[in-house]
Amino acid sequence: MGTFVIEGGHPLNGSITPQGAKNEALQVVCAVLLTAEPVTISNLPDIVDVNRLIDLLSSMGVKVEKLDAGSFRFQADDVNLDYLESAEFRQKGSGLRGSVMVMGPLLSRFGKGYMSKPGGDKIGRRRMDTHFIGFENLGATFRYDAGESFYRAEAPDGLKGSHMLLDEASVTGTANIVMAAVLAKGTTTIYNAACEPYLQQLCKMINSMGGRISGVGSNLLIIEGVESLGGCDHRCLPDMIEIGSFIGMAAMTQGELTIKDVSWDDLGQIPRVFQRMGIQVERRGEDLYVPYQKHYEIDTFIDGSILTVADAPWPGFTPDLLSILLVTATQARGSVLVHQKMFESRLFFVDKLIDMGAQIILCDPHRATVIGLDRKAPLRGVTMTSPDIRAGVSLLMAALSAEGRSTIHNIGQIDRGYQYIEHRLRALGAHIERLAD
Amino acid sequence: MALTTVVLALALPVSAQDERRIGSSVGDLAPELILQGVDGDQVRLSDLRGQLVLVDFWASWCGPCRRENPNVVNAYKKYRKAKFKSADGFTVASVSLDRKQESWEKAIKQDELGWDWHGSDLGGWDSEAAALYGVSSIPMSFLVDENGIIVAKNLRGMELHIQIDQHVAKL
Repeated sequence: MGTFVIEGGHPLNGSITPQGAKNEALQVVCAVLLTAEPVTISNLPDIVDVNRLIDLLSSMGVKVEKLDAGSFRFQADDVNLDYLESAEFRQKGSGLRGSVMVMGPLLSRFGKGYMSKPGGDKIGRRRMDTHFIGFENLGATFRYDAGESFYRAEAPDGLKGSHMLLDEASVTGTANIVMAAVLAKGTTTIYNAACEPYLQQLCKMINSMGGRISGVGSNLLIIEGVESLGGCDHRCLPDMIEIGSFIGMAAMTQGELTIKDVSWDDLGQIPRVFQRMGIQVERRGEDLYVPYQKHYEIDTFIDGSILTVADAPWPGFTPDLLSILLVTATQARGSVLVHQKMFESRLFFVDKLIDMGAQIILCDPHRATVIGLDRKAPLRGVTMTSPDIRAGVSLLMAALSAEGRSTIHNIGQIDRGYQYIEHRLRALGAHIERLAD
Repeated sequence: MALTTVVLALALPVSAQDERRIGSSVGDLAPELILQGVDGDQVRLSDLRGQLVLVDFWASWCGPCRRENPNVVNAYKKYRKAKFKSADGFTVASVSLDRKQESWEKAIKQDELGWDWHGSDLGGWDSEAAALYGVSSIPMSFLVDENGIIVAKNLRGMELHIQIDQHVAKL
């Protein structure tokens, strides 16, 4: 899986352009299955998860043409439905969480959508019930074969719009149901729908294709079914998780960074939460500027009590940035309680940070208290293994700021989410090398 | 007392309009666009105030937009002479996400986009106009009424005609 060797203590300076958003890319690439016409998507990140999804579509018979770096034209005019029953499809789909989102568009356009039980991060059990109950609400029959770990949704007579209240505001669940409902007969209303920017992007794209989705950006989506959809040209937003990671890296390494074209209005709470960590974050047009700061001091609540940062579905603070925020806090002045509400095992990586000299109390699987070192002592380089994408980058950040050399194994986990990461960090002054196995 | 009432009555519609949000949702006041025209002169969206305007985002390199163009041309031909309930006519304001002047001009000619208002900052996907209208997929269109308010968006195929029809007094 590869290894990074990092010599810490070098500040990151300069400017960097965030990659296209992974979580948007996985949704909009699946949406090309909704039409027989060509769809062009640009600013797709060149990362393993996205490339594997594109490869899966290509195996299904979707014509894929690479136009430029990050820009692809797709045409799903000759989808091989028999392939969905093949062993190869099961095998390819099982390794890739985003692949479950091919089910909605396949079901609505062809009357059947299959997928193997997906993989993805080891961050606790993520249930798929929201997706499948949604399909059933639209009139599909759903079967799960535990022996084969294979999901089947079928609607030979087509889907029918209905009203549904989701049990949780799942992003991929909402995306899947939206893609199923756009070609259903009649109107579908989805309440407690996810409303984060990447789902908004999917809805905008489908509307550009001729869909009729209103309420975009709210938790009540109204979808009037249409007969068919046409093509469109779409561009992905910058990745807010990368943007947050770079803010943290700049602060931790005492660097000065300009993060280009961040699409500020789509960042929600992110700049404010980092500001509460004492990190100066300035808006300069569409760029985000983090100045050099010797120290940064964590805010307290108005009554003086210790700050808590918790994740919540959008427009709350995204769970994907909590581990990054936690690492950033290790070198701040002050204390913060990080409360990971949405996933249960994402905080175990703090053991590694404690090995490096960070002062953290892991209260339980969901909560960790960080007592900032205020640079009185640097973190120490150690050897560690990356458990999942976000923790991987968090460990990478810790290593960049640590004294001495760190080794991170299993960096395939980092590659799943961040493109050319070592090249881009090296351009900012990081000392990082990749060792092949 | 009577005087106060009159003043208030006059003031209300104005303040109601002032409070309207500028944005890209239906019901919002459409953001102003000041762009380069094909001949290099400036074009302003506000110059079209008073008419029903289709603000249409497209590009010469966007296949789906090009395939949609005949529909927009048809609507233009059909409605430009129509009588409207309150608007002084119908026209199209085409905002191009092209990067090359040449390809932009050529596509306008090829697709016979015969209206006057064509604007672009030749910024491609980095176009500020697209950012202002939250456009990340094209084709994407906004129907703006005579008061500059967005009354419908994302009109492809027959939907464009159906929406314009609602403002027509007679063809």
